[in-house]
Amino acid sequence: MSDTSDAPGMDERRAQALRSVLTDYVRETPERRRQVRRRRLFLWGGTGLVVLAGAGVAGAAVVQAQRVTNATYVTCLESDERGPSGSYPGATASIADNAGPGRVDDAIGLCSEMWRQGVFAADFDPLSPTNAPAAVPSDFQVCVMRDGSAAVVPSENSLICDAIGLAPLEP
Amino acid sequence: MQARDSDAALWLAAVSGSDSAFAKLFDRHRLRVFRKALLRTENVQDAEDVVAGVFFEAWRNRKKVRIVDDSILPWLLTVTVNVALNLNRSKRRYRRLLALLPPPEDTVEVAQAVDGYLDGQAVRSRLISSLKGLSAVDQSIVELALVEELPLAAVAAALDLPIGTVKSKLHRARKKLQSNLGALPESKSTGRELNALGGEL
Repeated sequence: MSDTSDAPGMDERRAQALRSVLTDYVRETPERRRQVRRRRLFLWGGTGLVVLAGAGVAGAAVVQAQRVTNATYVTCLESDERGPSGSYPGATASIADNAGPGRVDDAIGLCSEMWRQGVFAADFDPLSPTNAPAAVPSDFQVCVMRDGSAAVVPSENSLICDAIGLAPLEP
Repeated sequence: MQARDSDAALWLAAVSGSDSAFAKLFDRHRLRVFRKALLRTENVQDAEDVVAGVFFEAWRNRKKVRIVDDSILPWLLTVTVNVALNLNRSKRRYRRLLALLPPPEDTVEVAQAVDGYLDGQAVRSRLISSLKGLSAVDQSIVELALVEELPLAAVAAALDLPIGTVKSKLHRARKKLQSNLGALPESKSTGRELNALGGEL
């Protein structure tokens, strides 16, 4: 294509304003709003699954160490304590590509990234592209949920999986 | 396999709901679109309005956007020609959004830079002015094939036309341009270049 590198450009101030107007325009389209609503439902659905899975294993005092057999998602717990109803509060990160198992092996890395992105911060806005980065816990433990998926708990306690009724990861 | 930041990947992300991907495409191509618009309008503010119109149209017609050789630019340049041709309509359609932009700064430096650029682009500018007798589609074909020097296959893909149609339209457009360019008065040093370009056509 023809090179016009010596040409003047747009007024940078107006260009940045246009950029901002464009992103708002894209965000405001009805189709995009529907996508955001679906994403919210998906996230709340994922949280519901975590609650159900937590309730299912409630009452088990000590669980044998297990391997991760379900590589489709990882649950990142936001606390090393169960919720009042016995649930495991946190978020699930779905793995949808061929690199999935590899990323489950690096479940701590995946959850660290979610912490870093501020997903568990009180003021996290899922619709904002500019959430402030948040502090990442200094240590994590990997446990195994009842369905065989990995659960990453923010804790320095190596026995935390037993303490909250999850299976420790088989060494 | 597409790179993560290729136009195709970014466009897919944009239509899947990522406004930041759309913003990246804007950052990547706004300068080329602006320069094309400037040649058409010869006015900075109008050219900026064309840029805005092009990207608004890209989003409005997102189901029709065509990626050619992993690039959205040929399609954007085609839309640039159309928006520049119908600038008033575009301004009316996006009046509310354009009103959100800050007023332009009318500085002497910008005016001089634009004048210098347009003088330097006189051959292209005169070619474009001679295009006005052609249909919008023929103008787009000439712009993409002769000004932007895209392969005919890419032009055909960008305009969603059979390559045979592009060839025949380009042939007819060339003939018209040859007569138009021949009739244009010669001016300063660009006249010789223009005639040379006319000869090539």
